[in-house]
Amino acid sequence: MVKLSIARARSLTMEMPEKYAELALKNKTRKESKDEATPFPKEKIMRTLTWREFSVYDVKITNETKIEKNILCIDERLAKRAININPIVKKVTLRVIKPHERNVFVNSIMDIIPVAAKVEGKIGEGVTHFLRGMVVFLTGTDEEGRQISEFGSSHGILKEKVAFGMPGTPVSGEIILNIDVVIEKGTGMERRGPLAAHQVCDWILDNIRRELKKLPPHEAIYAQEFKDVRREGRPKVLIVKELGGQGAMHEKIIMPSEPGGVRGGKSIIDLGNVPVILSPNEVRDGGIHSVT
Amino acid sequence: MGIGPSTKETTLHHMNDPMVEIVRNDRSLDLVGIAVVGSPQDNLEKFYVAKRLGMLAEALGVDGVLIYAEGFGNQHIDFAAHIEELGKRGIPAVGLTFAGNGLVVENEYMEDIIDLDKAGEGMETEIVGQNCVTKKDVIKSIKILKKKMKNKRR
Repeated sequence: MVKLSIARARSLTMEMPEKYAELALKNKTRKESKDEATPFPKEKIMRTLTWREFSVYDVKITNETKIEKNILCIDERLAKRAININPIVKKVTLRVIKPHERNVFVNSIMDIIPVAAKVEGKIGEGVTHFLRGMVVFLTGTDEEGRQISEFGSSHGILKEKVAFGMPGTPVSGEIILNIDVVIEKGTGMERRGPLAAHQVCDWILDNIRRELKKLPPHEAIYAQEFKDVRREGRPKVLIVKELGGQGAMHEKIIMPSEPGGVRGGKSIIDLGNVPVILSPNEVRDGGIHSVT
Repeated sequence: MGIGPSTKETTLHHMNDPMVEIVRNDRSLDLVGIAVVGSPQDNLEKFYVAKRLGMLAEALGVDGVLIYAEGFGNQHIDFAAHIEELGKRGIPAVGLTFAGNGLVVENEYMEDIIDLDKAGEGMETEIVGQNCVTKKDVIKSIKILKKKMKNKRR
């Protein structure tokens, strides 16, 4: 082959047969195409969600709803007033379970809900305030004392009935606000029964959310920006979540007005169970509420 | 059969969903979105829904699908139908579910299914949140999906 090495040259002309030149060029282009196989992904930001977390280290049931000095106070009268939301619900009880008091009896756990509120924008974009350090347990029975559950009930000693530290359950140090409801007899196995319980619970949470929205940004213990990103040229992946949509305890509320809320959302049953697309930010921001 | 305490996904689970969090932060993947699909009561409706999902995936032109179902028993009829519709269109899919004592239905496209059973009992344990998707399951499923997508491109 041709080998050429030059130390110092002013002007250089090289002549060679055409087939050699072609070969040389071919090798060069092949090298370039190899580089193209792994380009740096072009990231396109679609939406941004600002996430601010506020901490509470105590929850009290008093005569006023407020968040002050990292203590959440809940008005005890909310429990009585909540009954007016839906006539199916006969009684609401509020209870605070501290991390060391988990050795207590709870009724069937219908849902575990974090407290978060939308400050700006709709679900999936804008600003969200999130309350860290506590979660809400919605539990319930009907008037005859039958547990609201469909396939296996989780009533019993709280410590034994919850796998703490999973993605869907609180960690060991979190305070639990237990909202216990009693619904009309026989409605536990109908769609309207559990749904009424969730509506009442959502109304109580709305009162807490109103206070959460007022907290100034500088009091946040943690802030993050979540971005919906599309990466051009990368393999496209779709996540499919198959959720229960059979009625009575098998239902989801899609895209409510508040993160993880009920009000303003549409039931997956009413949507005909057909696939609906959510963005990653919308899922993070509580776009799906379980009525399971 | 349906959704029991251990397989149900709470509202907190959906917000903390490890599947969404890990896939969105993986720089070698382009997450197009999350398709939320219900599981109807009626058998005919189940296949109706599955067909719509197949068409949606086809229209989006996706290279791979991660699918997971909450609950077990009759929910697996749709689960199998979804994977079949995707398989017919040549879209690689990895499924995650609580298989319990085996799935009630199976088909030729269901090659890669990850069982979410954590207790190892193969039945409903009545402990909230026990048999749900964790980071470990997700990482495993992504690994399999990447391999499948690579094989398909060849």
